[in-house]
Amino acid sequence: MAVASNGLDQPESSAPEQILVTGTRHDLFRYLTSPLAEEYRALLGLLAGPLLADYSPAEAAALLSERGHHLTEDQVYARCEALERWGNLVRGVRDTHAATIREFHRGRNRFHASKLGGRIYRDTESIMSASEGAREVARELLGATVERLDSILSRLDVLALADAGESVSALDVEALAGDVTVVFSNQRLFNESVSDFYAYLNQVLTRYDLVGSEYQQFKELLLTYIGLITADVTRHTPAIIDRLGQIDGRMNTLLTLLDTQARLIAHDGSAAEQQAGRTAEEWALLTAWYTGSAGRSGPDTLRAAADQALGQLLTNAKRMLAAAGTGLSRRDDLIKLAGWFDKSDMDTAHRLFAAAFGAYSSRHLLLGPDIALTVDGVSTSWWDAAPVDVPVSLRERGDRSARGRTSPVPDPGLAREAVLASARLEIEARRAASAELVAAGDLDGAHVSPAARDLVMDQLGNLMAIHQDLSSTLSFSDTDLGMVLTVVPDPNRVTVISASDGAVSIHGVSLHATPDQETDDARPREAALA
Amino acid sequence: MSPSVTSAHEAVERRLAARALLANPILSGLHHPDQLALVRRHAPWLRQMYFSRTGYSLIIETGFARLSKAPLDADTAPRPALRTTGQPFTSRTYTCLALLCSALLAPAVGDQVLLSALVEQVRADAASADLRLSESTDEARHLVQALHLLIDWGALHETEGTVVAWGLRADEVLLDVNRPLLPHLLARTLRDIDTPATLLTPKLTSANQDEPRRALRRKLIENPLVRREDLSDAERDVLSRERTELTRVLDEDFGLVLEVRAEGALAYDPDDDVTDLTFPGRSTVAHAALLLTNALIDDLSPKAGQIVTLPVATEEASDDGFPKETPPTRPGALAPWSTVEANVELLIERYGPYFGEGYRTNASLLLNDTVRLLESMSLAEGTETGLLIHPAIARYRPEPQRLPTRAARRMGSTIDDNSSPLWFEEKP
Repeated sequence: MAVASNGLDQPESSAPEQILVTGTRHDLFRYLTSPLAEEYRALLGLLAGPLLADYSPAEAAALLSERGHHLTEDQVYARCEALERWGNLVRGVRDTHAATIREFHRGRNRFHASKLGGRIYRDTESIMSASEGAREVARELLGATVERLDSILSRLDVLALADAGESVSALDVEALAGDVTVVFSNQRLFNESVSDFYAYLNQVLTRYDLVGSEYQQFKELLLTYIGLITADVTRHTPAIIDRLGQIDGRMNTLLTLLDTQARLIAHDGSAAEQQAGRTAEEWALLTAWYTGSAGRSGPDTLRAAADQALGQLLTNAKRMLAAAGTGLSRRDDLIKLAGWFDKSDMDTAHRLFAAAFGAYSSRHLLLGPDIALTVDGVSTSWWDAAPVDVPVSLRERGDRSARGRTSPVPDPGLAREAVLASARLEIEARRAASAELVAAGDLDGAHVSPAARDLVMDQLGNLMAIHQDLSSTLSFSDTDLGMVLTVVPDPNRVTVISASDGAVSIHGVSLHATPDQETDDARPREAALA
Repeated sequence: MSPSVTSAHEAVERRLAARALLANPILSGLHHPDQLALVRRHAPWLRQMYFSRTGYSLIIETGFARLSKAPLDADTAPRPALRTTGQPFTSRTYTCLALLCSALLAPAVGDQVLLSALVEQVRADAASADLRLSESTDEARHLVQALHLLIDWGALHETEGTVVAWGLRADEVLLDVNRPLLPHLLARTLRDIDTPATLLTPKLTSANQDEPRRALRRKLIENPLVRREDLSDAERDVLSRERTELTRVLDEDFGLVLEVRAEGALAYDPDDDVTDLTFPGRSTVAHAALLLTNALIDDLSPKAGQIVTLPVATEEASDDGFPKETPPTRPGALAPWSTVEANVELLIERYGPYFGEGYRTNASLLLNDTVRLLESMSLAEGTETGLLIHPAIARYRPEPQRLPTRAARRMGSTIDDNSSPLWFEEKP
């Protein structure tokens, strides 16, 4: 880094950030960030403003004081020197004949703006004076461009004809050059205004607080204006591409003709800065802007930008609908409320909170008779009315949960065992009873255990439930018990089954119990499985 | 399924949804997804019902439901926002809350915000409102509490980092902002309201003949107890004439049971959940409050129609030409502070083992908290001379068995002590 090697001895430039880059074109911008920027700008306004201004510090000081900047001659001189060092000013020497030493010095110190210094000054001032608002897009230029390109083509025709015969008229070439310059500067202007417009749109659309009329305004701006631009671009683009294609075919002629113009050559032999449109590359770039042959075309970019802006507009609209347009006023309300809270005592603050937010929970007493009692009427005092049943745990311990240790969790395995065992006992008892019946065979007059008797009654009940009219011989086989009960209707028979606790007489049937063959076969298998 | 079963099922769902909104007027889908689903299912009915019954407006969106309640009457117990510790907000915390809400509505805040940026906006807003907002840890605590409430409401969500960590170590927090909810945090616009007093005094709209009905319903739905003397004539009229209808509405729509007595009316909640404070409840304070009032009823044995005249502040009773205001009277019984204190000490002695740590040794703390709970349930009122208990507390009076008084206990212990050497008595 070139620090201090530059011999900068001014105290104001000793701060590190001021001498980071020196001896380059960056220096040209230095005056803008200086604490004395306003004075520098005023001074440059004098020296770079009008054409060919050239002032001595004394003259400059006088002119500046007219504009409200009161600087001494020495101060102006110091400023001028600084600007000279940065490259914004150039010391001009004019041959004067001085009568005094002082006058001689003054005469030698005249300043005027350098080329780049003047340009920076003009650009800076145009940015400084630009408005924050939208800039109109120079869309009329598109039509003009088509016309100019046509005119270039017709001039080329004329010149080509003339070329065949006599020498080229210098006047026509000049007009051609003028057209070319206009085409390119129009294009630049159009480009700049479009990018300004979209930059502005983006800046606006990223704001969250667009409401009401403001929003309306932007919506119209977007919908109509973007529409216009896009339509214009779409309309003129094909014509422009067509003309550019024709010119491209005669590019050599065009460039040769333009080259015949008087050129400015610097003292060291290098060519001076040219106007745009004098090289094939520039024409190619222009064509590419419209056709998109080098990446994305200008019209496409514009359309994409329009889409993006519309999308953002939708997002904003959505947000606005969600906020119901109350965002701003609610903000004011809340700040006002904060002030009230700050000045109120606790109780008022609680009430303000409840009133402003309205977000308090309902509050109710708990417990009451499940069914409203009718004993106590509306004129009964609470002192006399029947009290509510408060759980003892709540009254005694302030607790409604069950107290004490948790009881052991019963082992389901044991319970299952017990259930299985009882089921086994039951089936065994029934099998024993059925075996008893099977052994008896004809049940009339049989003396059996009460369990066997009950089994007969059960089975008979089931049988009667299924066959309600006993017209023929029925048999009911219970494979579980391995018994078949046969019922033979016989109106004259009375079957008497006696047991230790009494006898049962069944009229109109005779009953027989026989072993069930299938079950007998199955049982060994079952036993083997068990 | 038969239609009657379906409609009964529907009715149960509607009631659950209505109750959920009563307890959480800002019902966030983040914290109460099931309840919000119910509310959304019955949205049209709920909107209509709330508007016609109470005049409340109900906004139901995808991620939240917002029931905007009316300001509370001045004669009801205040309903503070609660900190995470259960303590009420202070004025400062409310200030922070309002500033946070306004900062969230600032143009620069999108769907997500860094807490540090939000706090910067709060400071900017505070400066524009001429409020001091220091950078002390105390101030940070207020902000954290207010942030917790906003998180509870579902207006904010901690995406990365926690608000607590920010309060302790200034760690950065990324917060999701529920932007659709923000404009609905304030229940009403304050644009035309210039002073806090205007906000707190509800407008009297006598034009609407349904107004006393709605007002009475609101009072019964929102408050644990409605004193008869606090009702307007029209409201009292509605209470006496349309009691059956009122009972039906409260039960069918909100699952509350209306109980009207000589001294007032209340709607109790048999299902225990539409309330921010539970009484009777499990905490030491609720337990002590129940026992204390039981003891006081025993001591005072108040009668129906008993009236207590509240002392009027002395400076008001000057004779400057105005007719002397008749001192306000309240039904109820006044227990002198000495009696209350004695009873609290007795309770600690008797029930200490069941009480929370801090309360066993600190009778005055227990007394204060107990009185505050009773006051917030509108069941008692601390006055200069003593504790005024409202007759409604008699709902919870004990079964006939009572606590032996201190004197009786002393007597009992004396007899016990002397019981073994009986022969002393017989000594001539």
